[in-house]
Amino acid sequence: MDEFKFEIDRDGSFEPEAFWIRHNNPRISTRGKPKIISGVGIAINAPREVQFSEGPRLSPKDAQFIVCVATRFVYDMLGHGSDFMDHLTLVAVDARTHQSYEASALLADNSNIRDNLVPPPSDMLQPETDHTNTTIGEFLRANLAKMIDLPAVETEYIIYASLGPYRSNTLTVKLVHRKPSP
Amino acid sequence: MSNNDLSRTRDTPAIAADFVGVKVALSPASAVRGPMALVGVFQLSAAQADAIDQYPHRALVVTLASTAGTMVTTPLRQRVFFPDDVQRVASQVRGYFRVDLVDPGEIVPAGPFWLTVSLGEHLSNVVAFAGPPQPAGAHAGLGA
Repeated sequence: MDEFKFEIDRDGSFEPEAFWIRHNNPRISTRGKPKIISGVGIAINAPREVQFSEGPRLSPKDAQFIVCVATRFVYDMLGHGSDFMDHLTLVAVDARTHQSYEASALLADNSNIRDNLVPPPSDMLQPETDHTNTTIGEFLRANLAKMIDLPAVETEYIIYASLGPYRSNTLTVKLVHRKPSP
Repeated sequence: MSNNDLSRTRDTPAIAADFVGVKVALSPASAVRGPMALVGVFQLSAAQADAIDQYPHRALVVTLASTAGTMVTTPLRQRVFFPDDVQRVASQVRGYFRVDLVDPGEIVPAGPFWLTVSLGEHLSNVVAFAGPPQPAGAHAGLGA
């Protein structure tokens, strides 16, 4: 397998596109996502700075603590079939207090958007296709302010993602109080 | 998890003089219970270390992943440190740590697990922990 390579643009837009908003589905590819070039693994992208105006905890309506995740794995790695994102965990560490937080990527989901909740019958015919070299790519656009109960204080978070033996790149995101409009 | 040692052990991985980051290993496996501790070393420039904490050990985050999910913990975050717990050589800061994965009387869960340690933006190598040897006919998840 090739070396894992990816590109991210931390200074680009993290605003969702119209199609994303229409479907309100965090699994649809949208702006800000990492671009995986080769290999298998996890890559994340996030803005350098997140603003908030309310307290005492971050509110997802107020703070857009967006983390875009891209994964690419060989089919059925760890027995996860083609669904790896459900098993991914996002980690956030407050760089000042060293308090660590974790959240399953499942918490990024909106209700009723995942299918195949009922497993197929065990005697269902299995395809004969050899998937040992098939790679599966997935995306996630998550708001950590929705997934983790974070205090609304100015600080920096170090974030990364974890899935089995894989870890993503690490990023630092500054949390700042939004200046009132003049 | 608990901690009990900030010294280099015979199992602590070796690092090059110019190494920057965190490196970890598992202690040798007990024949009955498997590896019981995570040992490691970090080395940063003085500027990097001071930006993290006077005692960077406090910022060590252990990430324990299994096929079911991931948990994180900062086992040394509230520990009291002394100046000689970190080594300052030239412009580098080095520290050693050992984190017990399972208390002596605790049941060792079945693996596999994958462990990493982060320190600031530095991520260590990943070490795999298969869990304790399972005797034939043993109930899954229980040590011998």
